[in-house]
Amino acid sequence: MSSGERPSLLSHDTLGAPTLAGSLRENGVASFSVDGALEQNGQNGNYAKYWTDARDFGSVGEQSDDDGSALLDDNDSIEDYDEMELDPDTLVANSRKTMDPSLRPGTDPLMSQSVTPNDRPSGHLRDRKKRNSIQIRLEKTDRKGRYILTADDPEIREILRKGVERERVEASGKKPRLRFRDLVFTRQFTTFDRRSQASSESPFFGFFTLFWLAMALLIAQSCLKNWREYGSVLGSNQIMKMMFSHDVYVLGLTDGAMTLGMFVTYFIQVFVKKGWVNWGRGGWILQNIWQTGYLAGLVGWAYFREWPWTHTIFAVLHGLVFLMKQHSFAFYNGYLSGVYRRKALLEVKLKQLQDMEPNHSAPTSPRASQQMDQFATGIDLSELAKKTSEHTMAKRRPSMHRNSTNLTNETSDVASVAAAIQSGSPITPDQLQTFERIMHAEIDDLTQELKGKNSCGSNAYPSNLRLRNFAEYICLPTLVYELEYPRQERINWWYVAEKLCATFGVLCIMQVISQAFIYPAVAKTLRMKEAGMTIEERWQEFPYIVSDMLFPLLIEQLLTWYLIWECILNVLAELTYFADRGFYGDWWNSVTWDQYARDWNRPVHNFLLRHVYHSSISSFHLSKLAATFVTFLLSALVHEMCMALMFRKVRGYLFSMQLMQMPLVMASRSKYLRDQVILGNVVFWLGLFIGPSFLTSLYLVI
Amino acid sequence: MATNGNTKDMYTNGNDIAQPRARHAQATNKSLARALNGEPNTTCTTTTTHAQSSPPLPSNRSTPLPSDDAPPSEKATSAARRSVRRQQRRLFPTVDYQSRLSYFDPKSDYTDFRGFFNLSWVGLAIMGITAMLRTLKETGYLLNFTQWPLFTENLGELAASDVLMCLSTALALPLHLLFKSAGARGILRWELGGMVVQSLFQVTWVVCWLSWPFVREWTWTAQVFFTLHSLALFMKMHSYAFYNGHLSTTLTRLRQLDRPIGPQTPLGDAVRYPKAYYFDARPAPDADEKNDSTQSQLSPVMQLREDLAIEITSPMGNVTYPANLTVRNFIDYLLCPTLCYELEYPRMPQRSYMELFYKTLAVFGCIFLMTVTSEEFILPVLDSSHARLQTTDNFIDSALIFAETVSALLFPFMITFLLVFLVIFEYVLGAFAEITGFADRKFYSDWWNSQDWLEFSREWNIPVHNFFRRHVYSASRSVQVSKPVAMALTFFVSAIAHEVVMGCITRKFRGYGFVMLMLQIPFVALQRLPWVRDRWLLNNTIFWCAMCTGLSLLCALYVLV
Repeated sequence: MSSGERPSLLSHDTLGAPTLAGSLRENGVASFSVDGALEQNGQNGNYAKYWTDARDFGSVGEQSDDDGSALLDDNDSIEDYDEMELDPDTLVANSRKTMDPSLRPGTDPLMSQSVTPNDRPSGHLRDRKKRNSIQIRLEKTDRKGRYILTADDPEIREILRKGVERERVEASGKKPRLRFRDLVFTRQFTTFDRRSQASSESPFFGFFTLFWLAMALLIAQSCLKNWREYGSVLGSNQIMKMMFSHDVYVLGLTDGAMTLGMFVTYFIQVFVKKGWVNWGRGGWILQNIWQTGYLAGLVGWAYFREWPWTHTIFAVLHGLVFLMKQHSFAFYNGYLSGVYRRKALLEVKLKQLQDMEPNHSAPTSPRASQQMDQFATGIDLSELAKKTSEHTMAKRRPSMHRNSTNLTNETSDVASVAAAIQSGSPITPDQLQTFERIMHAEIDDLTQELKGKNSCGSNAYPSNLRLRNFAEYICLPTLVYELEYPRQERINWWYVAEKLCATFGVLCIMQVISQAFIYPAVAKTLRMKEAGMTIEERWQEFPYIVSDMLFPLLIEQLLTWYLIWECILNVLAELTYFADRGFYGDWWNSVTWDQYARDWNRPVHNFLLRHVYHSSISSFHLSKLAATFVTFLLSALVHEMCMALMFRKVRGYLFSMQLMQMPLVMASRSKYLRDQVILGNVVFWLGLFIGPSFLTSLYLVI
Repeated sequence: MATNGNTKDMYTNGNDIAQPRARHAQATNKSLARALNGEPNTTCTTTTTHAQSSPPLPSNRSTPLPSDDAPPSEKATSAARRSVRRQQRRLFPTVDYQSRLSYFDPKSDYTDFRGFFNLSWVGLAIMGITAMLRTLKETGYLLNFTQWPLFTENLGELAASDVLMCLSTALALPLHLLFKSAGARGILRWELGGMVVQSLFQVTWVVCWLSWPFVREWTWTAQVFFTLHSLALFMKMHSYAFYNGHLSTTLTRLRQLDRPIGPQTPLGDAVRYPKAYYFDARPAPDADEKNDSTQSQLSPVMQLREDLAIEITSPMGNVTYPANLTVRNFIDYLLCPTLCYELEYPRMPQRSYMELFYKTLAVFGCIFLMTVTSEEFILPVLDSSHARLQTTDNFIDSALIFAETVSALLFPFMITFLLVFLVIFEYVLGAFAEITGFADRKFYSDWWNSQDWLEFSREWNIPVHNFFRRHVYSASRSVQVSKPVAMALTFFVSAIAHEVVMGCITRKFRGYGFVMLMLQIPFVALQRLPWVRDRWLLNNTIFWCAMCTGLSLLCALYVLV
């Protein structure tokens, strides 16, 4: 396999930083030296800043300030988790261990880089000691800032080789940059999948067997009990009766209608492509109106039909999934439509430029000549700056204007060139050449952008707007639209059968548990209300109801998670040849709540990260903290909406508890609690254990 | 359908369902895998060479060596030590002690699923709290232990007897000094009278202490503790006496070689116990002697002297035989969490009092949880079933009641079993290891992945397994017993010991446990059938089923029938 063909990984892999110059000898010994620019600065802060900049597309404006250390802190406190995970090159051996404090978010991001050159090689090796992955040696040479890195492992040799290669590509200046937040899709399996490495290597697999055996025994026991008490293995079976009481077909029809409704988004994009609607001006507003209407219609329909809560929650959750899919599709394609238009505009300008006659004599007007000089020197300087200073590079990045079609408001090179063309003043052949080069570079850049993840370009922007592509996207188990995903070669039908069996098995277990253990407690609260007990009397019963529901609700919660993220999504992925099974991380090892929020539901997390967090930073210019808050708030609101639909009352308990997690997260990041891994995990599990039961009881009792 | 063909090579197993878990590191090597699973293997030499070429044995792999991420200095020492050990050929079967961590140790490398371990603790704690809440609601007291008197009744007496028992084991030391002073010709020398006297002493000792609780009519909790402790001490004493006895013989022979060698000097090869084939990766002596040209150049007497000298030196080379016969060493050995005596054990550089505190806390926490479980979920079921059984004389009704009891006891017994396992093998033994600085924390292997009962019995209790392997299996092999017979004998002895424990708990000697343990042998034979043996998931499920139902069935049998 060649590293050149894989989806671009940008610079967060171990050796991608262009500040690292190195050579690799045949025997796997690589020698690296820190680049001159960095050596002058001599600060880790600047270094870290560079590698944050290199892939944080949404927040260019904010990051261009010079305060490297502040940025490091900022980065430290918020988001650098997904950078260290999905990259296959960093996943050497068993390096992903969230319980390991050195790899947790909130620790020094430099630690996640295994071979970062550092001014303190000894300290760095000490940090690495925790990782238990690969043997490398970092030797100091006589020259300052130069180290020799030796790896005995063939795997890391390969990685080093690739890193050096990639670096050469980057050094030659052809580094592709994608404007939209770049999520890396890789081939991987879910942790509980039998095919995954983590599961097959884990020494604790026997306990997994024990868990399912215990579930089977639980079912057997409760069936026996039902048979003795009711004469039927299903018992009184109220839950099933409630689920299938009415409107089952209507639910199916609604679901079909929801799917059909998604095509409205597709047609909006077709209009945008045809130029009937301008995305930047009115298109996105139209899309948002449609999305709001979609959700409102769904909720209204559920109310109107007086569905049982199971119907409602299914329809609403499914609707939300469709909504997110539409949003991602629309906003990504909308952005690309801007890029496409800009490219067309620039091509026109280029044509104009090529038609112009170069003037060999000196320009007549001194002012114009000055202007020309300015252009020329500015461009030359920029070329120089690209090579030397990373700060300037960050400032000069063209990405701010990727989808703008109004060149008069810009300050970029291209805008200057366009202005020069527009002015019609004569130019010298040298200038003509420079201008042409700039235009070509920008157009190449935009073409790259239109290709996105689709390296061969067959599905690049305008050609991806086909019904077939959209229909396929609807079925894929992801909420983030990309022009291409990693795919599998074939479907393993045995695997599909296995996961389907698991799906129905888990559904059965959930049904039995809710009937046998949860229903009695819920029925008790309803009886209490019917008997007209006062709130004080009911409040006295409250702890017992909570304690009755603790264990069954925990199991229900775990099973629901397993059902959706392990069974259903895997079936869907297998059927659609979708190869990236990163549907969840190891959330059970979470130490803080934000870690859990990121890991348990990766598709939604990826969606929120790209379309809420980064979009709010780039389009509303929020700070990172504010953007985190907005993301959290949105998620809490949606959750509260689900609760309101389930219990038919708006109380805000879940909402407030979810928002309370923010200070909790802050507390767990404080100096004293940061390294208390086990304590953090226990607190997390306590919350997950007590939370659902407590909330359910609150909504039921009060 | 655009596919990324270039990453295909990286994930060659992309579409194939892999086996759930590669059981052992070298499971691909059939003969070795078979050997590791404790099956007879004729091609002994290939096994050993394979094992030698890949030093990390499964036992090393499954419990992480701290040397993995240790500083190079530590690693170099450990490697040197291991190579020295590999060169050494010992006559008495040895146990391979290394610095290792247990699976559930907080410092262990296996953290992928650590969250679920924490979850189980959180779950148990919540179970305890809700139980207390319920008691509070029903009785008005937070805790209402009907079992409380069980614990407190004979506490003083139990403590006194326990101390006395520990003291009485120390008799092994003067006895051994007596045997040692008998010299090469004395009637009481180890291989003649010494062994007999020691055996007689041990039998008397164990009979006395096992019957003591019956005489004093203690409660069953006190008795179970005392019985288990006396069995453990018995094994310790046996190991101490027999290993030192062997060393005294060796020393005598070594001294004899100092004198001019006459016709009376025994020049026969030192007694070579055959190695336990599945654990010991060192080459068989014969093969080694053929390969090793430098060794064969030595004269037989020199060779013998060297062998004998190595035998009386500890594996780490710091202690030689007679120097270890001190009271201090004996007390240290009593406290060490092991049942096999060695001249020297790997030690931790320092003791962590925090760890000790946590482990002690965990011991009491586990005992509390076990009490809550039995109070809440076991005793009521047994009481009501007992009462109902009294009133019925119809056989079918009784059988139904019995089946219901078994089904109701399934989960509580599973929890109790896991708690007992944790409290003994992780916390009590861990605490003692912390006190003595004992570095080899491999008190259990990954038994939860077992496929059959034999594997489980090997893995869940490594100290006792080591003892049986060294002092029952290998010892019986040394008196010309064939391998299957030796294995059956080992199993038989272990079944008897289990039956004794069950009998002491319930005061009924019914032999249910014995029968069920012996029933495992044909069952294992079934599981070894060619079609079944490769289905790991199936076998593991069967194992867990047997575990769950077996415990609850046994309890119901002993208590109700």
